[in-house]
Parts: sequence; C-alpha cells; structure tokens
Amino acid sequence: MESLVTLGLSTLSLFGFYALLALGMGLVFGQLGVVNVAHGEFVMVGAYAMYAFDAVPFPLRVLVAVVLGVALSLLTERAILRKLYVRGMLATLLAMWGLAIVLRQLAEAVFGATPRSVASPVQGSVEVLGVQYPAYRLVVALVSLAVVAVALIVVYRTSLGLKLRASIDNRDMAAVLGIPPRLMIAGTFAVGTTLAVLAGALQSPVLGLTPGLGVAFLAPAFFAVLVVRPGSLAGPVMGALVVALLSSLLRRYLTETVADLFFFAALVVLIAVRPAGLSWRLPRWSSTRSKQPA
Amino acid sequence: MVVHTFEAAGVIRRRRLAVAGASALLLALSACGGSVGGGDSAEGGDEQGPVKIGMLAPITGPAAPEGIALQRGFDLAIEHINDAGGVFGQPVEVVFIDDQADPATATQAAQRLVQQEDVDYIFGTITDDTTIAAANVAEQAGVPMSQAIATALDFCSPHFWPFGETPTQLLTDLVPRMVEEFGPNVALVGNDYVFPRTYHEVSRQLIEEAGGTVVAEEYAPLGTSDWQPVINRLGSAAPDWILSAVVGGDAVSFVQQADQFGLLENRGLTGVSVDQQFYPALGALLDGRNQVVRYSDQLPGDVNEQFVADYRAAYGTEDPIPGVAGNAYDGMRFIAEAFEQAGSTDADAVSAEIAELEFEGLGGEMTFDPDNHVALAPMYLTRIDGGAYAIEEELGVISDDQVKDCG
Repeated sequence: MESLVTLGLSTLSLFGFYALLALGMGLVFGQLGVVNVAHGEFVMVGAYAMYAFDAVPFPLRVLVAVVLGVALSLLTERAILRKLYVRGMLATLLAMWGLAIVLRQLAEAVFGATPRSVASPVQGSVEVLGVQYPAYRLVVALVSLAVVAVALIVVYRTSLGLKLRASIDNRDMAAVLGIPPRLMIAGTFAVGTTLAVLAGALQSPVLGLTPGLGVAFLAPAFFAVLVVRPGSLAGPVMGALVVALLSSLLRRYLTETVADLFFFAALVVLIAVRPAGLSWRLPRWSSTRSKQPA
Repeated sequence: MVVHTFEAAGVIRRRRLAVAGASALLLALSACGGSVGGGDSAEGGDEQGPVKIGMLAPITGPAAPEGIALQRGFDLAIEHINDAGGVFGQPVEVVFIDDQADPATATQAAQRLVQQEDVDYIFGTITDDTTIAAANVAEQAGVPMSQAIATALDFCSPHFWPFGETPTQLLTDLVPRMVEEFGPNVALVGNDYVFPRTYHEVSRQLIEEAGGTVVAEEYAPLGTSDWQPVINRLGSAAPDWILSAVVGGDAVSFVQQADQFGLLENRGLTGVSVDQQFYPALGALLDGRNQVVRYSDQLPGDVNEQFVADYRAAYGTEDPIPGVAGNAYDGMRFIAEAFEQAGSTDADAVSAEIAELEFEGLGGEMTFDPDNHVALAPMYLTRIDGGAYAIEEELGVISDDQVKDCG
C-alpha cells in the first residue's frame, strides 16, 4: 500500500511537470507545425530567471519568469520563425536547434558553468495516506495541473479556443472567416513556450541549475506529443500521463540505467505500432473499426 | 550543359579525393616526423626553443564547471611561470583547445596538438574517457601528458603522469571516520559511468574493512534530474550515512531532493557531491560535513595565499576554489620544473625528471610513484564551514598500491 502511494505521488509530480511541457509543445506543433527542439531550453530560461531575480518573492518571481517567457517567445517567433514557415518543418527545426545552442551558451556566459540552485518557498513535508512527501512537490504538481486545466478549458470552452482550433484545423478557411492567422500563430507560440518557461520556474527548487539542464526534458515532452493523435490539444496531456506513469513504473522496479533503456525502447515501439498516435476516446476506436472492410 | 557540369563535378570530386589521399599521407608522415623531430630537438642542448604546452579542457558541455576550473588553475600557473622568467629563459607557449567532454573531439584535438602544433606536453582533460582518448594519441606520438582531476583512469604509459587524486587517496581516511561518527550502514550512490563505479568499488572494500555494511548501491545516468526513485530506495535501506559520487548539475539536484525528501535528516553525507564546486549551489546543506581533499583554499602558507589572492582577483569569485584548479596549478608548475631540470624537451628526459622530482606544491611536497604513476602529496581532512573547507587534520601522503603497467 505504502509503495503504491509513493508510486502514485511520484507519478503525480512527474505528470504535473510533463503535462505543462507536453501541452506547450503540442500547441506549437499543432498550430505552427514546428518541432520545438528548444523547448527544454525554455525550461532552463524559466529556472535561471528564478535564480537571477532571487530578491523577488517566489510567486511574484514566477510571474516575472512568465513575462520574460512571453517576451522571449514573441521575439523568437518574430525574428526567427516568421521567415521560415514557408521553408517547411526542417528549416524551423534547424532554426530552433540553433536557438537552443544560443540559449545554452548565453546562460553559460551570463551565469557561468557552476551549478546553481533556487531555494524552495515551501519547506517540510506532508503526510499523504501514511507517506511523507515534500510539500513543495505536491503544491507544484497541483498548480501545474490547474494551469493545464485552465488552458484546456480555454481551448475547448471559449470563443478564443474555438478560433484557435479552427486555425489549427484549416488556417486558410479560418483566415477567410476573419481569424487573423498571424496573430493566432504568434499567440500560440508565445503561450506554448511560455508554458515551458513556467514549468522551469516551478521546478527550479528541485533542480540543479546548469546551462544544459533543459536537454533532458525534450525527450519526455516530445514522446508525450508523439504517442497521441497529431494535432490534438488535449492529447499531449494524456501523453504526459502515459510517459510519467511509464517512467515511474519502470524506475520503481528497475535500476535507473536499465529503466531509461526500457523507457525509450517502449516509446519507440509504441510509436512504431501506432504511428498515428493512440486514441483515447472509445467512439473513435469503434468508428475506426467499423470503417474497416469486412 | 548539364553533361558539362556533371563532368566538372566529377573532376572536382576526383581532385578532392586526391587531395584527401595526399593529406592523409602527409598526416601519416608528419606523425612519424613528429617523434623523430622531438628526438632531434633534444640534441640541441643549450639552444632550446620555448616550451609549448597543448591544453585540453571541456569549457563547454556537461563537464564545463570542472573544465573551467581546470583552465583557470592552469592559466594562473602559466602566468606565474612566465612572470618568473619562463622555462629555458623563455615564456612558455600554450595552445588551448576545448574538447567539450567528447572523446571524438578530444582525439582530434590531441592529433592537432601533436601533428600541427608540435607541442612538447599535453595537459588535460576532465572526464576519464576523453583523457584516455587524448592520452592514446599522445602516447603514439611520444608526447608526455598529464591530467589534474580526481580519477579512476585505467590507463598508463611511460609518459603519462596524472595529477588527479585516486579514489583510494580520497577514501582511505574518510570512510573509517564516517563509520565511527555516523554508524556502519552505508548507502552508495553515483552517476552511471566509470569513475563513480570504481570509486564505489574502493569504498565498498574500505567500508567492509572498517566493519561497516553497504546497505544500498544506486546509479543513475548523467543528466538525471528526477531522483525520487533512487532517494526512495536509499531511504528504505535506512543507512547511517550516504557516500555520493553524483557529479555535475546532478549532484545539486540529488542533494537538494534528498534534503526535501528528508533523506539527509540526522544522516551523514560525503563524497564527490560535497566538493568545492557544488558549494555555491548547496551552501547550508553542506555546512558541517567532512571531506578529504588534496587542495583547499584554506591551506596555510604564502604560496597558497598568493594563489588564492590571484585566483580571486583574476576571476572575480569568492566561491570556494575547486580542488581541480589547485591540482592544475601545482601540476603545471611541477611540469615546468621538470622541463627546466631536464634541460630539454625530450620526452624521455622530461619523464625521467618527473619520476624523480620532489616539488613543493600548495599543500606540501608532491612526487610520483615511479611504478604506477600515482601522484603523491599530503591529503587533508576538512570540515565545511560557511563556504570554507577548513583544514581539520593533515592526513599525510596516502599511497595507492594499484598495479598499473606504465612501462
């Protein structure tokens, strides 16, 4: 029982983090068709923002990080991506790859290579069903999931979300109907990457800050997006749950190195078997089945 | 038209091949020439040219914190050597290459150093795999080489003289003291590569000799950011103290998360993860803990005081000075002295001097074991106190009987 609770809690805390990352990455991929390989570096930017503005109270500092994230992502979209959309996915992928290197080097130039840390605003631990768990991790997981929930409500229940989904489905048609494509693109990129910056800011008290810290987060976020139906916005969140659960389960029973190996192997197999992504809605399963010729 | 360009491209490609072939041949020739040339210059006697050192350090990439510290200590040594008149009465020349902690890059860099730059000595690098990659190139070219960071290198050659501390030197006194202070049950943790595993092979043996037991042993890949499962397993083994060979940014993540999960409550912690370079990030979590080092900026003596003052002035830092910087400073001055004594840049003559030299380093007299090439210098037990790795006790020179074929 106790180990089950521990497993659940570690999955929850990973899920909160990955869900923010995957939702952001999924938004950018769905709207712009850009594989944001600099996603991890935006996490790093968020974490270092928390280190840099040490004097500001923690919640306010998160806000500062978010503002910084919005500014940085709008600048990126304007200066780098806007000219490259027409050149296709490879061009934008390479550009983002380059941006990732620039951001890492910039962090190294500004903050040096010595690892840094951010003090946790919530000390101590709380008891959850007989298991002591760091309070901060729980708070962050809940805040992250709340942000994800709000984002999904906006996407599926507001007129802004409707415009966004329309623009993703068929940008030309949406433009004809008066939804400004440029604004939708820039806005989506800003929201998507700022979610990564926010994730980095929230996670900073549990991380050792180095310029290369973001590299490790690209793979789980990317897989979370890949295991679900492309273009789906809620999908990556489910994907994040799959990735978090898989990771905690494997690492619960295997050594870290072997677990890592199985983790990546399992995801590659999953994607090879269902290249169109997993579908999480039962009706969809039945509808695909019914379409198959007898 | 199309055919024409096609042909032209073909010609160019053939020419490129020819050029590539010729340059490969040239490279091979110059590789042979390098060692012969080295022999020639040895005959030169009193008319020695300037000593040229090839310096390798990963100042970018995952080992950058250590790489930059290495470079800083080395640069200060060169500055001080040259201020004092250099070697053979001429300033020492340095060719620096960033190996990015990548063995392939290190191999190419070492090749450039011995073939194009014709260096007399190679200094570096940080991770053992890149050091071995460069050392293989150096060995083939007959160029002597040294590294300067704590190491579990399974490599030796007649001209390879590592200044790094061995696990045995770091752990021999530390382990029994920790067993006595905290208790017999020990948890081992580290990143998953050669150094931490060798480090823990040695520590396991020492723990058992001290009457202790290893109750858990965990390794995670470099770049692990989430340590929950490892911390859970370590915690459920209920150790009295934890010996950690987690390095780099991971060390900070691990120690911080271990603290948040309550793993460090009333438990001892020591090992590579409490080294000086992690103090700026971990601060209070390390205060009061013990560590065995060869170099600390708290060492007494004028030479060290001068080094510390110059280091702080040159790099504008008040953080504890990493041990690798002290090792690099001592190592390069040791090598310069060996060149001076040998009176030539001939590899055999320089290595013969290194094997016999007794050099006054920052922490005391430094020599090499002539058989297994382990650097011997006094070790110190320190207690970490507000960023100062304060000397509690001089432990003297700790020998390491590992058997290595250096002949």
